[in-house]
Amino acid sequence: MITKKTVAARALAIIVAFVWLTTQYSYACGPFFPQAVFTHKLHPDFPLTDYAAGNLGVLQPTYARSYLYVAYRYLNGIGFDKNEQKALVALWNERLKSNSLDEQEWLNEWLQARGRIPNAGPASVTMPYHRWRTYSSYSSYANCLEDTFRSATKTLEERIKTLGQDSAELREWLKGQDQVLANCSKGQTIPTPLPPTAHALLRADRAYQIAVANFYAGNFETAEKMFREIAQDTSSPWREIASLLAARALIRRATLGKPQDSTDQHLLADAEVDLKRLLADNRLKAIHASANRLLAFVDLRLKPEARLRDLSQVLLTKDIGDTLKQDLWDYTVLLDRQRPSVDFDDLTNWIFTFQETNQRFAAKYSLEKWRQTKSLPWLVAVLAKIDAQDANASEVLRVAASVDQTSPAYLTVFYHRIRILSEIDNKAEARKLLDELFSRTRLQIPISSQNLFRAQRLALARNLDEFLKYAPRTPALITTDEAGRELPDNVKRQSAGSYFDDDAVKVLNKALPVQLLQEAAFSKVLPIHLRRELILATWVRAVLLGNDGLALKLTSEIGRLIPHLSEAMRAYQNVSDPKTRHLEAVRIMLENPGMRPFVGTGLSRLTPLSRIDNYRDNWWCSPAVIFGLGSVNASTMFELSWKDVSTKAIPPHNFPSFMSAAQKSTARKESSELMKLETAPNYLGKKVINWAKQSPADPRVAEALHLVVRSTRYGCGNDEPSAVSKEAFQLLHKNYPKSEWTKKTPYWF
Amino acid sequence: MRRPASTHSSYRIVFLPYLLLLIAVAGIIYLSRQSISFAEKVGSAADRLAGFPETILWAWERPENLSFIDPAQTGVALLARTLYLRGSEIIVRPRLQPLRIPPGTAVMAVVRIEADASKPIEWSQSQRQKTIDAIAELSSLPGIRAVQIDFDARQSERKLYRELLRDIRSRLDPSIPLSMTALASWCMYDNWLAGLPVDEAVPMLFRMGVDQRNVLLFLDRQRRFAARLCQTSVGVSLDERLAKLPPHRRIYVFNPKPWSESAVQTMLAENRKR
Repeated sequence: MITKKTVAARALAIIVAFVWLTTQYSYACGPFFPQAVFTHKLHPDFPLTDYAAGNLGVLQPTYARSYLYVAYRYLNGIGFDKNEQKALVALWNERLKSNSLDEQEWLNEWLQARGRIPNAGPASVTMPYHRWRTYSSYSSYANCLEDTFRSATKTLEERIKTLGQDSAELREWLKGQDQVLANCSKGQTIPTPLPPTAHALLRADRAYQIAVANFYAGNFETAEKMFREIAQDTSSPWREIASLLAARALIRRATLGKPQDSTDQHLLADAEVDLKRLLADNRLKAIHASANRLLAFVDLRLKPEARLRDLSQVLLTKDIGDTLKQDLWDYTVLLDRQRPSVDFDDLTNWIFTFQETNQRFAAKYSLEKWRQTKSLPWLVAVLAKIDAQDANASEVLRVAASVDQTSPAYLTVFYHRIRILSEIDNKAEARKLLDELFSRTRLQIPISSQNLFRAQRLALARNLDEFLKYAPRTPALITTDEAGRELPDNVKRQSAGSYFDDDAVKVLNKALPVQLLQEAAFSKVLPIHLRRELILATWVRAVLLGNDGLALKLTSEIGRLIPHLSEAMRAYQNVSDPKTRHLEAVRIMLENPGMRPFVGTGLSRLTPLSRIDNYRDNWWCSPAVIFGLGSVNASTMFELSWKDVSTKAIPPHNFPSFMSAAQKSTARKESSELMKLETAPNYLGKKVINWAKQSPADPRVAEALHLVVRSTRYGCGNDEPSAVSKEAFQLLHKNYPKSEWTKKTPYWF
Repeated sequence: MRRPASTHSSYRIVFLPYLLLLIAVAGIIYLSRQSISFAEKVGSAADRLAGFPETILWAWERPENLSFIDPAQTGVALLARTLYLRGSEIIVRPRLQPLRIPPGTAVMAVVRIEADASKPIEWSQSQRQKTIDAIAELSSLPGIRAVQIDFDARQSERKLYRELLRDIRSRLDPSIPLSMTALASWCMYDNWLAGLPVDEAVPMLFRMGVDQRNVLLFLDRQRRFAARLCQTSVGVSLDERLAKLPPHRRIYVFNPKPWSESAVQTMLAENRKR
């Protein structure tokens, strides 16, 4: 039986549920956060003009092959002239600009030119792409290219001069051209031939327009026949280009008549013959450059291995000239498609060996090649791949030492010398060499490479000051590119400053005891913004570990470095009772969501210390919670790899060599304590709840309870914070009903 | 701007006037949403994507040969078009890379929308119509059984996105399900997805940036996304393995590299273990 009471209860439940379901919240969305890239892995540092000019820095095996080709040439002493450097940068820019929308620019240029014709009417073309006709129904191809629109625009301007802007002839030409472009994306719109009485130039144009319309409409055989007829017409201004387009029609038949990833080899062979005939005809010099590009396209598909072999030779000739960009483009496309057999050619072998991730195999092969050739590229490859334990390491090191600092290989060779010296425990020599390098102010070292050297020096630090000196790094790039392409945003940023990279963060967060952290925080070696972050992390850590004495020592310096905390720190310092002082620290932490017992990597927390971060990067999480999550990006003291999570192992400590046994032992104990730490809202909340129960008359309690409830809303947590949140909320409302803090706390979370 | 900590949090209503006010506001919102709710009913009557296998591979803009997949086990969501909306312009870039799939594969056409932050979308009638046409046309591709829209709409773009989804839903044949990808945050704290006329919103559990920790913590606590539309599917990436996934009927898998047979087999084996 349903009573009135039940109905009322259900109605209320429905209303409450409805309110919940229909309430909308507004906040920023999207993972568009700036990140620091300290060392580029996919390409050299920007601007790429420096790399094109031969400033190679420390070569990375993860660079795309076009960059490694450039390195190989410089290492072989060939290099590039200014024009070639421009061609290289143009190629890289084109590839890196994956979102370039050039087609809209060509189209707009045409539409603007067309718009100048009175009563032109609406344009017909909408997009230059056409669905694949026979196969692969889901894909399209670029049917009308840049030349289509640029040529139309240029011809229109010429015909305005010849025929007159308001003439009927011009309108007729435009009508034909609109019909041509209508075929770019779909349909079969073919202009009609003009009568013999029409203007001779207009008739020639129309014959060409009909052929081109058939070409874009996919009637390649018809188009080819028409182009060949035009090519024979000595009176046509289109005869030269028509010769070329006849070959293009053949190529389109060959490539578009088959599934998208295959071609008709016979038709391509016909096109090759045709193009070679054109290239042999000196009267057609105007189209030779285009014919060469088409021939390269044909060879790429007709005989890829031979083309690859040709390209690898051509690309190493001095003064390549205008074909560099296209040749390098084709070469790298071919390498992407299929890895050639070993010993294909030296350039290709070197690139693949340098990229090889099987270090042992690559080292052995490089060593053989270096012994055979004694060339610089293979010395670089051996150095990059050889293990310090290899019997040949000392011989390679000896030769590496003779590479002059003016050599384009110098920084790569130097980097691997240091790596090997460090591995064979010749740290003194490695340190000495690095310090000499840093003292050479005239040496131009890309930022990515500087950071690599600083990381090497950091690992060789003999004392805390040396560690701190090499810990800060200047980012090579700050980007919001989440796809990991290491590309700059279209946003001008202020000077980057310096930040901690992973290596320093791991030591600071996981290896140093608070005593050493305190020394680090007091050291003037670090830049002030990093000292601020470090001293706060140290203070929070000291409070959490119950190291009152150390926390007290930090207060004056915190007040000096972060003036808006000076009053809070004085209040903390002035409390004589340790228990009450600890509560004061809890209150300060609750007021400052940026307080946490670790420092961040890269740009760290970008929200001001006392402000809530909208993405809940507030206070700290419990290691126990983090353990259950899987992969976590943030380099906090609790960061774990996938393996760590699955084995539930405590991550290893990266103790720097300058730490004593006693310091390591203390660090282990402290780390063990911190691993038991509760999530911030729980830890801080429970302290405040106890305080509220024991000292309800304390005037600070109401505000502290409010801050606890806030922390459960914006802090890290699991199911438990709800209990803390509820208890704090109830205490606040029960004991302080008239407090302003109670009014500010309408909910618990 | 602040967001609520979690959807399961208990809201304790303290004052009766607040309750009455909330009821009134809710009523207004309800009335303002009548037109959307009808469309939502169409989408939610049943899982209209049930014809798709549990695993769906995203085939992005690169040559993909998926001729080896078993259509009974694996579907394909292919990037068919990318729309660039900037200012008053719309630029349509179709798929330019080949894709091979075996006959009988359940295929979904994905359209990616890219907005240019420096040139806010004007959303003129002409731009809106061209956008609708460019998306609706995809359902005419051979064998397409559903359409998915991938748009990381900013706060300021939500209104137009909502309108677009409504327009698309009304243009598509009622038999074609409409899917959308969603930032995980949309599914967690936010209610803007409610009432959208789509069959599902696929939370993207990869490339989450600093939001990753929040999302993983949320899933660790809640196990299920609050937004109803987010409860049937998840989107993951092959290079970002997650220890725990919320319950799901379908899993969409992204691969930053071209798919290979071994990658698909490994991924299917992992999914079976979940």
